[in-house]
Amino acid sequence: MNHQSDQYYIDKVLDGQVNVFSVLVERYQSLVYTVVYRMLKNKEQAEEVAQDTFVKAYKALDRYRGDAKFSTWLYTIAYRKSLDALKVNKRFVSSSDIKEIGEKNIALVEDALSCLQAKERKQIILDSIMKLPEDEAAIITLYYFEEKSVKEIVEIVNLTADNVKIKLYRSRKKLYSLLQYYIYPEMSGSNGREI
Amino acid sequence: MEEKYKNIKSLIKEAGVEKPPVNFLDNIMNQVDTLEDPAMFVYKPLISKKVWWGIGLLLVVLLSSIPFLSDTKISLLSWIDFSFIKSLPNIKNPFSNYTFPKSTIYGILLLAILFFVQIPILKRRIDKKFSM
Repeated sequence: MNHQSDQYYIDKVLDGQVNVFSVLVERYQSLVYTVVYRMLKNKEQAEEVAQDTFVKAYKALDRYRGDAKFSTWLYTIAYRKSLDALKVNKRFVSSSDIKEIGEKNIALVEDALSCLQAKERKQIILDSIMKLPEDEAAIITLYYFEEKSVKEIVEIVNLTADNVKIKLYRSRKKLYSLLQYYIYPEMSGSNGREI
Repeated sequence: MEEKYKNIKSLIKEAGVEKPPVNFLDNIMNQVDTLEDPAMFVYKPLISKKVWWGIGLLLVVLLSSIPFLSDTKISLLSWIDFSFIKSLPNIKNPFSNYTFPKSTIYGILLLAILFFVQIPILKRRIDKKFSM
């Protein structure tokens, strides 16, 4: 039953089978929650915003025309709701100025990562993603994890394709700088500057 | 540029997804279910159908009874003596010589137009505010 397309379930929900909506929620809850959490960087709030996203999607389901993938449409709602929540909080996480990573250090960081234990490595990567600015954290997750195309991300974040590409480039660079900071604190910023 | 960071995809993949809280799905479905309560959206008309029938019947009875009413020429107006009106001092229209300047008329017209323009704008705004 789980192999049906999103549209199949959407049609059923619109036909009045409310409970079928849970299939769609189950399918996308982790991804929506992840993107929202990486933007808001707060678990309670992320839970609330992610829930709101699905409730709003349910209310607006009759307006989903299927031009874009359902997931893209869902992320669009989630992204906007997260931005709204950030605006209300004024809790914009200041992006840190970490010393930029030098080219030769990229390989060094990757080598070091491969030597770490899986659990430790995952934690370092997660910490680094969480330190990214909210929009870049979302874009990098959508692009590399969800494997959304630039075109789809353009729809979600409402920026131009060039802008998205620039943000992707910056977030890559920042992520590696952050990874370097976590692995070799002494190499990033000699004065022990905090992130 | 892409080559330099060739491992980034696997790194992000390795980071995986966050697990939403256990009751996440239930919370959403509860909210969705309460939305679906049809009792919330039943509107009761101010004047019920029964009352409308009553009003209609009354109207028909009154209209059809007109020809049968007695045709006496007694009128309420003939009871009142209107001669006092002549004794009142003659009041002249104080604005009889006043003509509106054209600019005032244009001003009022523009104001009237803007008034009608703001109605749809306000309507849309309020709709947006209270819609989901």
